[in-house]
Amino acid sequence: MASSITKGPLLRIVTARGYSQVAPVNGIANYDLKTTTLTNKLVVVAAENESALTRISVTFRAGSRYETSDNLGAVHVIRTAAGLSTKNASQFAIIRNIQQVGASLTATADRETISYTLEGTRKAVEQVLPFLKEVATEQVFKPWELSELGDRLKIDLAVRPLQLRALDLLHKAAYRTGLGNSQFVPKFQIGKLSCETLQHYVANTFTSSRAAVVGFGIDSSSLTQFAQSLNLEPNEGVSNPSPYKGGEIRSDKGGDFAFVAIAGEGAAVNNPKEALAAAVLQNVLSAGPQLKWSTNDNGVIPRALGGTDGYSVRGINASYKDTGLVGILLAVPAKSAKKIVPGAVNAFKSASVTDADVNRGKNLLKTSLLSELESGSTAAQVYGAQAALTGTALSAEEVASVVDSVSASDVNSVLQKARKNISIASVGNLADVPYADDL
Amino acid sequence: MAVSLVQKRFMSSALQKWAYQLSGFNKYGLHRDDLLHENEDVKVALKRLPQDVVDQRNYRLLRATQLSIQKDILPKNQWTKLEDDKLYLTPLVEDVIREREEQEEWNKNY
Repeated sequence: MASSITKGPLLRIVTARGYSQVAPVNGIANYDLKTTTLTNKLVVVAAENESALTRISVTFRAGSRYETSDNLGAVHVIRTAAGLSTKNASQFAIIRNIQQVGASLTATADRETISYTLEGTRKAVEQVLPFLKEVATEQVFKPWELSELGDRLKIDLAVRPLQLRALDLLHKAAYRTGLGNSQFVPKFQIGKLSCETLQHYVANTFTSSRAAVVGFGIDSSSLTQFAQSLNLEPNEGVSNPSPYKGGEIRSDKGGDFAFVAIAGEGAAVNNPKEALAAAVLQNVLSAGPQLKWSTNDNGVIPRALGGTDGYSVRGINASYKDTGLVGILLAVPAKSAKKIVPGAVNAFKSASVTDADVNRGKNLLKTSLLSELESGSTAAQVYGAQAALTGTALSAEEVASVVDSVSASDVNSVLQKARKNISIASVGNLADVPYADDL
Repeated sequence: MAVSLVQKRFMSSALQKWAYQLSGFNKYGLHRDDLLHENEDVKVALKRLPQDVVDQRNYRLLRATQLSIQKDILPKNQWTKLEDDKLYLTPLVEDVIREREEQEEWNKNY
């Protein structure tokens, strides 16, 4: 009896020690990705990076672009509702059990996807994995719990920085509906989204053909087993093509600064080469200061504007399933907006990109992509979004090699396409910010 | 609780109706769940009811109080029938009790 008790644990200790001698705590950086597609079209991406931590992310193609005028803000509410009572587990049980083993569960949403990520030591994740399944797929949205979310939604709205609102309005100007939907619930919708509305949204978007399960620090077979246990409808769900339209939106908020987002149509994610060329263009335009406390970098836009007036400029790039945005985000002191905003628009419209610029952009992009994919929860979320949108996941080496193959002419053609029809969104003190048709 | 269990398991529907009439509260237009003693669990459950159901409940309680003061009962055609007497609160109270017991169990163990 006593001898048989020690058998199991002893073996486990030996394998655990084996891991700890081979791999660093963070896991190895050049892990292999194993992508499988289940019969119900659910994509499973497993990466055994031998880390002491496990990250599992369940991602659905259910971002705010799939909202309609009736359920505007549903995604924000669903994201905030992660952790509320589900079909088989109460709010109390979910929170306490995950806390007790020291794991953490987060929900993140963007315009395309919403993802639930469970993170913790291997043993902890193994214990609370059923709660990830509950939170991600078995929502019930009890009305009395939903009604308590109002304050949290209001805080989310209140702490949005103006830069973020400029980007939100840029999408609205560029796409109007679909991708133009804000990632945040409009104030007039707080408390109006009923549990039926949310259930309906979940039923139409949380389906197996729109889902991806990504696991780091877990072997492929146990991740596949978990993915198979998810109880998801196999239907296609809603689709929402969102063509680029272009336009201008201004929102006067007062203050000392004006935040102006200027962008044109970028590249879709289903064409990796063009998407990465757009990402290179973002870094070419301006990657922001790379040294702490330094001012603007040597990007195309700051070079054209000169280094005075205490403004800041950063390239922006977003790739969605069927379209994208690429451009710049300006933060200017209200008084110097009259000079800098037209200057930046002119620079964006007329700048020429040299080989040296492209090389610098490629190096900056490669550094940021590779460090993002090195390990950790960001990698799980990046791969989750990739797998949910395209059905595959490009490994870090593949991404790096595609970035290497981007040429100056690729970047120039993305820039030409973006220049054709630009959108402008400005927030803050707009007294001296010119209107788009005056530029 | 016990009464409703006995009703479910051992009584024919005719016998059930007879027992329901005999209990008497239906003559004041009340429903079974209007009679629950308002302890902490029931108070939490009441917060979870939709507003229109709460309004109807309050109306029935007020009417019954008024009748009681006047030492009167409703005309017979307005008495609650067993078929109309839905248990609108009991399932919610059961949920609340289950959640409370879960928390007590957790606090005992950790």
